[in-house]
Amino acid sequence: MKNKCFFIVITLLYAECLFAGIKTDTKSIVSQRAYYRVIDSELQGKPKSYTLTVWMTGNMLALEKAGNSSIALWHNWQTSKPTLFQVFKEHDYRIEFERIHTQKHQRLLAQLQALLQDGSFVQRATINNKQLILQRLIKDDMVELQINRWSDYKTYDYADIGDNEADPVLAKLIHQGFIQKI
Amino acid sequence: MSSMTKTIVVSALSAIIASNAQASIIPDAQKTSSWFVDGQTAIAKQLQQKKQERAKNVIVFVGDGMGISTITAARIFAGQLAGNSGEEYALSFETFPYSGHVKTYNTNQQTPDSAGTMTAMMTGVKTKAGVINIAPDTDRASCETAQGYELKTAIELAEEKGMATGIISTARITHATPAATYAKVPERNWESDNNLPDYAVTLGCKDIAAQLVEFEVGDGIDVAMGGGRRHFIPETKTDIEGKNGKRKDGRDLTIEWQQRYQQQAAAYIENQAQFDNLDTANVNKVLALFNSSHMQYETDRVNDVAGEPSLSEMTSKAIDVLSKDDDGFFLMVESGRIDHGHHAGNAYRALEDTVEFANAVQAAMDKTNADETLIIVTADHSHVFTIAGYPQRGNDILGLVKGTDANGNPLDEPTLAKDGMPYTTVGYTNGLGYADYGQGNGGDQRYDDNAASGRYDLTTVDTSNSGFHQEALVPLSSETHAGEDISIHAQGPGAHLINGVIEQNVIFHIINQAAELSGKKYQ
Repeated sequence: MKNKCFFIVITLLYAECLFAGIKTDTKSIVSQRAYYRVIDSELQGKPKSYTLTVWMTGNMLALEKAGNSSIALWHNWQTSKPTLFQVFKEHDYRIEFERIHTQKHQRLLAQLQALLQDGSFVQRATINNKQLILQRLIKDDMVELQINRWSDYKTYDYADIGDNEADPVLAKLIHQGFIQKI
Repeated sequence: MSSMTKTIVVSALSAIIASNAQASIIPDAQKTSSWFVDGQTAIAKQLQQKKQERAKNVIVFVGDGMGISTITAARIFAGQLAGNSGEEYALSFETFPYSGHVKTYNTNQQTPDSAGTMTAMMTGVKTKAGVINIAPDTDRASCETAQGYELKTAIELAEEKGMATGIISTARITHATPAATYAKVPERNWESDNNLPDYAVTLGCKDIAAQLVEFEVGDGIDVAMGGGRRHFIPETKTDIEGKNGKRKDGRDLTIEWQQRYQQQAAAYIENQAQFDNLDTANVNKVLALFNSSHMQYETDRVNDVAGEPSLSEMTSKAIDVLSKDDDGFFLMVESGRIDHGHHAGNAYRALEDTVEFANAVQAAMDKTNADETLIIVTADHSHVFTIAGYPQRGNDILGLVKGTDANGNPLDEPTLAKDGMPYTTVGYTNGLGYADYGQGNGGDQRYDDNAASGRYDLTTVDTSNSGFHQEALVPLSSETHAGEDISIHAQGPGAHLINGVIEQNVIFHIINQAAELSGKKYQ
């Protein structure tokens, strides 16, 4: 259910493109993580607020919902050809979506990029009637270390999933239906 | 009388005898039928086949995942694209005089993977799924148990014999099928050092990309074309298409390859323009890495960032380079993305890549002499791809089933299933299932959405567009391989050895017999 909440949030995030993509100089980015409180008045029978953490380095951008085992991570996020990974923290695995550049991914990434203004995260944003309020902003080495740790996870290309069901962890992820809307 | 003359005389006599015999017992309506006449012609053609023993050159074409249903559907697809009803069409390799069935199972799996199947074809020994050119005594992904069980490949034997060698794939050149021509690893995913465990490095196991560049037998592999650039460059390096490498050891194998062959006429290329400018008359070594990961599906190739050639273009140029060697050549050509189209549940891309695969075979037929070149066309395994229902003759192979009436005449409206909805001729037993992304979309995009198994109302859906994904029964995050036999087709010296139902490892021995890779024939 938590996973579903996460997916719904992100689906809503990219459902409406409110922001144009921002081209940022990679060198000007300070590694940081921002904790946003998302207030969603449209979620009925579900928690009305939840926390999203956005991890950011010069070439990596990650999106994590508290309590969710799956993280969306973009490599080369400031370029026109970012590579998307789905990171599974509990299993130390990643799935690489090297060639998926769909419009909705571009919208999502553009909206996340828009949270960054002048090299830092904005205090407040409204995306598709969802309020995002910055709770904490941390700039430390932990961001780089954590993203590097995720980058070292065992990685499978999405196109190779069908050839690797002998891998018990991957087989488990397959049966969980791990390829979801991120 | 020469053997050629004898053959012709025998054939003519056979035809006359058969014709005379038929004249007295076959009704006119039967013997004047084009089906009947065409059948006679087919037999006459087969009678004229001469068995040739010695192959100077060998080309092995592998359609990854190209099961028999894929060949049938691609044949109809190609025929319909040509404006015909389709069923009567023949793909290039379907005109070959010899064919057979191949049993594909791995030593540990009823339904196989590409690593084990290609190992069988390249070494004559079946092994486990996921294992490349290591005997089945080893455990998968176990460096220590692999040592001492390495198998010698056909391409190594060809190099030892002084032949020119080449490998082509639309997948990553480090992917299981192409890797099985040159590498020896107990785990197919060890494409570069980032996926190679530390203990394996300590024990001396090497990643697949490194094995390609360091290939020591003979003078090294002469032509290698495909995708997979990311496994050759460091993770800190961004390639011409904006993608980073995978290597953590800091090695740039593309530079190492160029340094290795700097005293030779060698070319390292990465895009269509460089490919077009390749001087095949004056180059003897080619490493071409056209994409960070797999190359594009044929239908999406036009959208590639840097541009990349088709499989038939690569095949043609590779033969131009390799055929300059008087000792002959060995070339393996893989269409790697037929498999991926099926895994994504997108028949359009799987079939279009199969048609392009057939074009590549035709290019090889056009470039070589059938009296001296053995061409083998086969697959590694099948997919759970079906051709079902009772569609009328000429029905769009990607369309909804439209049957025939009680008199056998075509109906205009789609046939409805028990649930009141129409259904497509082609479909999948499992996988991600239905999606409709529209013309020009789809393919790997399907992985971006949830599995949607079962039935959907397709009444108003254009199921023939490239963005349509067929329905699937069992929901899985990727459609799977299938375990039934695949086919093998051949022409040229040694082709007559292909007959009946054979184990997949026999293919190596057919090549070995025809080209005498081990230095002598079996008998």
